[in-house]
Amino acid sequence: MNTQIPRSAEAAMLATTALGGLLFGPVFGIPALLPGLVVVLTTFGVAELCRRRPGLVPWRPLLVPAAGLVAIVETVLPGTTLGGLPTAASVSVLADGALHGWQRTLQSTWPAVPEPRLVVFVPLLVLLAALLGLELLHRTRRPLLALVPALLVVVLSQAYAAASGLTAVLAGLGLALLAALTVLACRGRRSPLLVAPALVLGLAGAIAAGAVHPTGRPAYSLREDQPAPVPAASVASPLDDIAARLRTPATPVFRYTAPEPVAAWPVAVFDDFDGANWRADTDFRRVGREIAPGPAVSAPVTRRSARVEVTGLSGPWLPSQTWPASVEGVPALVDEHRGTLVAERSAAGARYTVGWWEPQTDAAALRDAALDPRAGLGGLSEVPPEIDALAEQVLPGLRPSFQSALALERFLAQNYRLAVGTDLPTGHGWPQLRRFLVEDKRGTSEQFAAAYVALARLRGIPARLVTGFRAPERPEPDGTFLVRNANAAAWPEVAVDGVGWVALDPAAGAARSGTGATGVAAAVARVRAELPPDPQLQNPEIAPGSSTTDSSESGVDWTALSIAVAALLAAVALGWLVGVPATVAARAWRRRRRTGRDAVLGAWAEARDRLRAHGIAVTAGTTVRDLAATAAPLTGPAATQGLDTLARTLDAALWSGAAPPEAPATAWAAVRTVRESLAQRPWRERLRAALNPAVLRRPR
Amino acid sequence: MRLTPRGAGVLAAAVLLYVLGEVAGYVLLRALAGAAAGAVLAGVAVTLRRPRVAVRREISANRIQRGGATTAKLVVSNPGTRRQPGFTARELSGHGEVVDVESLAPGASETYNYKLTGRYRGRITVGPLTLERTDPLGLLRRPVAAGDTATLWVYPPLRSAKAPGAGHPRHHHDGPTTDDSLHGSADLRDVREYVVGDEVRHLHWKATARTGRLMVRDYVDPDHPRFTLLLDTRPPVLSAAEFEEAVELAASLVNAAATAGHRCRLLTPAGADVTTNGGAVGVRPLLDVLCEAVQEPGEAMVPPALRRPGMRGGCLVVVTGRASKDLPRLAGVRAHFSALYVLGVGTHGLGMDGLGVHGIDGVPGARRLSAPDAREAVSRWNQMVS
Repeated sequence: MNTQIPRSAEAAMLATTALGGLLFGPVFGIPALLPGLVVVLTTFGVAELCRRRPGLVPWRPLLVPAAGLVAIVETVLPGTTLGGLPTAASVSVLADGALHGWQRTLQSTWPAVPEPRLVVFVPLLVLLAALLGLELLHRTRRPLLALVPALLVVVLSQAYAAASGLTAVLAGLGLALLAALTVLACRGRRSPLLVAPALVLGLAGAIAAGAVHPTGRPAYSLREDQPAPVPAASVASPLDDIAARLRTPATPVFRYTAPEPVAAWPVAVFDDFDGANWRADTDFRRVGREIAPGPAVSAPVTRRSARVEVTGLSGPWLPSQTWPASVEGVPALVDEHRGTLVAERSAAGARYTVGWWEPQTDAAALRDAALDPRAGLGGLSEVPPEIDALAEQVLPGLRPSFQSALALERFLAQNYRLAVGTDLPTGHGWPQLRRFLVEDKRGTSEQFAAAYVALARLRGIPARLVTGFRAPERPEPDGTFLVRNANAAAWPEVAVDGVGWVALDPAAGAARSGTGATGVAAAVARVRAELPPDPQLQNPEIAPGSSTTDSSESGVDWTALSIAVAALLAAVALGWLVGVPATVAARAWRRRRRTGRDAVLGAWAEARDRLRAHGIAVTAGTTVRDLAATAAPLTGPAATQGLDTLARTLDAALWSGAAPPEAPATAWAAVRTVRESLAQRPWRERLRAALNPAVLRRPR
Repeated sequence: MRLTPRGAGVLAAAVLLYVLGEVAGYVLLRALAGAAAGAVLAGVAVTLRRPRVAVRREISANRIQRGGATTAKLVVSNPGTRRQPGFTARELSGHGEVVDVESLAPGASETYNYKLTGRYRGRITVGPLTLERTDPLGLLRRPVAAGDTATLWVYPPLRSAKAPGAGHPRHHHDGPTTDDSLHGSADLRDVREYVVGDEVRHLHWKATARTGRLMVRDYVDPDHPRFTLLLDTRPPVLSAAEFEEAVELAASLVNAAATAGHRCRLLTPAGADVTTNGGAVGVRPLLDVLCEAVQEPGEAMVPPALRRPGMRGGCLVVVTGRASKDLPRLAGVRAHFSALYVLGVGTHGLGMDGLGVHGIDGVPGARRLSAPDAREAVSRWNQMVS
């Protein structure tokens, strides 16, 4: 332990740890994480205290966690303190956060609600890494070993939510830079010029390795293995309920208040068909702070919300929307990919406010829209030959597009009848669909929707089956909308490129819900109305050059990144090439403008700095005559003579009381002599001297 | 060009991070791995140019005592026409001293002083120097051997001891010698066969006539004090640590005696036999032998050289340890010396003989001294001889 670990090494190591903590940003949002990172400051403070009081060093492993825990309680859990002091509740929340917070976070949608029980595990992790890093740094004196705990935090943050694209590359570069700073701080002063290759090649390496991804695997996340536990109550398929509900049409189900008209309320989404049943694959998570619209939506979205009051729903399902954004008022689980909501406890009597995203689109855009092949077609099991034949007959020669999806809807709406009354057909397996499509040609929305999805999938249109409730046509007198059993329906949705899932309604060909729909539903209605008759339907033109292979899979614009890096490097180079000579010239100009004794001193400083630029060693204690002796081999006799003159002038100016009036001129003439003799040196040396940034610093 | 342990760690971490980033699909880890690999590559670029400088090492004193230090001066000059970036000079042997050399302008020369410490007794070869250029992050180094080697003698520590009193004049075999002898008085010690280099004036004609071979008289100055030291180097006698103490004691005594002008002779059972004429010049050969003395098996404690005629007389000091059964044999040479001291160094443990020098009761006039270490032994010696 001959030398102390420098303060800067500790700071760089702790900054690395803090950056590791910040990489949990996608999980909670950066602002929610910032208060907890105060543990890095307390750790640095304790390290500083131990530096001032070496007697405390053996206690450091205890002081760091103690100070850190108090800081966490004060910043993250202020609600549990009593008069600023931690209480038993603080300890309980800390323990709960450490033991279960990480898991509950994985089970939530992201960004998660930044409540202390969830967030607190990040500062605890950072504190642990900071403690281990500090002790490793001081005990092993190996900076890179001390960075291992911070690196593990980084890896864990990536296992939670992997950063992607530019953010990831920048974060990786930042980590590498901080690691390099830690090492450099431990190694002491080095030539800054030699660090430049490491910077440049490190930058290039980071960009190259970030871009190279031969296996093309998607980022793994721990949350894939951590779905939220679905309530144990038996989940009856809402698809089976439709016919039963239609028999008692007047029973109210739920009531909602929305500032703008809502087209429908999906309850459950079915995307897999095994020939007898439609299944809903579920991937439920706790509702976090706000759910972003899915990656399939690239159109601009607007936020909508409605207040829902459930009266007649017994199952766990809650009426929802395709792209839910938030649920307040009831603990709920959400399936981010399908938009379905499930109450964590009973759905009966739930009152909640649901917010959702509505993609913005218009009829013109929708008319020419392509379908989204990434949505996938889903299973159909074994298709009966009659239906296969039927699918061949409808839409002859039409490629999958939104227009062909609408044409299929029109085919069902025009050729099939909606069953009303009490004798309602039930079932949605292949036998029932065959009877509906080939024999009876009469069914409820259940058969219409199931048949549509089956035919659409046979035609290559990505579609899925949704059950829920259509919005009532007019509000109650008190302004709320009361949804009854009569509104229960099933309908298909097709995946439209950029807009996401768009609801169609083949069963409502005659009885369209006319709530003055807005948004996507209105646009669909417009397109549907303008749809040309079948014989005039044409395949959309495929734009030349458009390819199905996606070139920018990683989502990083590497060209832009390379240009940005090149611009950065160019800026640094320009700053050096222009900045150094300009600063030197400005300084000389300033020195020459001084008067009297200061002018002579300025001349001396100028001569000294000119010679320093040429590599002559000068310390703070070097005198003019020392300098003349050192510089003699480099500059020649003229400069030595000039420096002698300068020395005499300087002596006279400094020690004779007042500077002689001609002293500044003499001194600056001497400087000129020195500069003239330096100008005789080879051009390479002069160039090096002109760009030498060391002269900007005072001699030491 | 070699990876330092840190460089190997960084490279291994880069591979590990890249594989993890590739398998799990984490761009950040891949970028970090790329930056690490870039840093190693930059290290290669920086260390690619080997230092082209001339180095010369000068050691101010090449004989130091154990625990002491000497200053080594490293003169580094740049004979080339290009500026040489800084590098690290490391002594390959010795204690691996490290000197950081700053960058050098063409034609410039810089001097660096560093300390060479003697931690162990013995003759140490210092150098050759390894000039190493490492990158700023210390990931790679490129060692180049340069410069020559130098020898550093690390003597045992010398404690201030008193020289024993002078011996008394011996019996004259050939009648009294003249007082106006050319080099002061001369005491006829022996008549021996002539060897080339002997003074012809000292030919002993009577003996020459009797034997038929040229015989010369061997004169010594009767007043010249003589000091003979026998260091027991046999391993059973002293443990390694005790032997160091014994050597330290022997060196202190020889140094004191030789500095006081005694003619000195140093013997070991293993066969070392050095004789010097005393004085400051005479100290060095003796201490050189002690510097390199190691424990080696020998048969008898009293080497045959001590039994043969030669430089005898004066004082005999035996530095030994657990040697009780050999000590009576000193009686065989006792007659040739005016005084006999037996010094035992070391903790003898709880053996049969207990602590101290035993078994010299049969040797007439032998004085004994036992001490656990050299410091104590020298202190008791000083009391004994004063």
